[in-house]
Amino acid sequence: MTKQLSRKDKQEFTALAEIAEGRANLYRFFGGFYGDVPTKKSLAKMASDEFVAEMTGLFGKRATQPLRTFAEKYKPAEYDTVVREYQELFVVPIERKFVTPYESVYLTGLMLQDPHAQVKKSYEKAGVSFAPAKAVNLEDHISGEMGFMQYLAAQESKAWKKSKPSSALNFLRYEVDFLENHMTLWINDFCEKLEGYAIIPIYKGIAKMTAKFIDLDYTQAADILEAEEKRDVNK
Amino acid sequence: MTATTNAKEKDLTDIVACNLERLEPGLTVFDTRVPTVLGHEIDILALDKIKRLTLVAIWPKKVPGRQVVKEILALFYRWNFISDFKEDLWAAADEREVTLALRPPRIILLTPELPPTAWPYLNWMRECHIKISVFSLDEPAPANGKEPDWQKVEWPEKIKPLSRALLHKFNLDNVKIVNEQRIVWEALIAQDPLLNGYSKDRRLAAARKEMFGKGKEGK
Repeated sequence: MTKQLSRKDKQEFTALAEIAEGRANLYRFFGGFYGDVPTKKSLAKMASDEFVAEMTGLFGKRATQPLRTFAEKYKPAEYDTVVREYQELFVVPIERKFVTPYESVYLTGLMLQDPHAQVKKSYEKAGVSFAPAKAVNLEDHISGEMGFMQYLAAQESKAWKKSKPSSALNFLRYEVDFLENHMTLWINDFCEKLEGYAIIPIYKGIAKMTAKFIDLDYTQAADILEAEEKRDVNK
Repeated sequence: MTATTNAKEKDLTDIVACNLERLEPGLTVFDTRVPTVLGHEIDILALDKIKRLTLVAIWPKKVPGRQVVKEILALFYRWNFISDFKEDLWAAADEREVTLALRPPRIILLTPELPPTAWPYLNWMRECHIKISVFSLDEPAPANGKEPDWQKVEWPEKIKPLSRALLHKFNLDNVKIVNEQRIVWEALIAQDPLLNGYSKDRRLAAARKEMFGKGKEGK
């Protein structure tokens, strides 16, 4: 027998669906940025006033300062510089410039160690298959992990929209666990390194915003999960 | 000597050190201004009446809300330092009183006003079996001729437990500190293999200063 949902419940599910959808979009944005060279179009969008204002609203003035610098100074003719910087930071392992965007490296000092295996297991457990693409060659690449979080948040949003709270909470539990056991353990160090190595402001900005985003997202997701679980128990 | 006689020349640490009995009968000074590996100074290290190491920490001013976690982390780090180097600390004492050295160190915190956001952290530490007492400190420090008036602060009846996110972040920051200490400590040991934990003549602090310049100030 299906339980009749109250209007309040429906409103809350809609709000939670919107939050999850917003989070999924941000994961897609950041994951895409680390996964491939940004296009001229996406860079132009990032240099726009609307985008800067939106990011400032989300992450605050301090975290978006380099983005503002980038937006003020960026000229489409400098696109090649951005491409070179991307290659040096994320693709070509040149000493003192390559940021090795893999979880395993930050937690153990080496690639393909236990954290990588754990990430792989997490994907399998959630029924997600990993497809290597361009620079994202391993499961624990930052872009791979962002993609996984995007998938989970999108599924959570769908479940809230369909008024299936237990399914939505299940996805949320996966998200919080993955953030706790993986992303929050290394993203800060990665971002610090990226901020230090990057020369052009867009990558410095992305580093600052990523760190802030993961911090805020983890807090928000964990708080929602705690509140919803408590509500579930009290019902 | 009482604290009030030379209050002008002495700072708060000395005033508290001289008046430990006002906090708790039988509390005696073991050492003051003990340096730690990361440079955070332990204000007073005391012994209680059953010879248990007691960290007496002083927050001279009310800690603003945004600083609470940082201060609690520093407090927890100092407590961990005492626990880690307990045997060395005892070895440095004139009289070894090792029979009771296995008891975990305690914490006494003196502060003019404890921010409400600090209670969940202290409560969590208490749940981890760290005995903590909080005393209200006069603000400003007792002036010459005035007796210090320190009152034991009662624990609130209901303390909201730390949220999952806050506890996780606290643990992450703590692991960072532990790793930092390990790196600094290993560097110190590499430089001087005979360096053995805490030393009365502050070799540790001196070596650290030599290696890292001024380094981080604890407070």
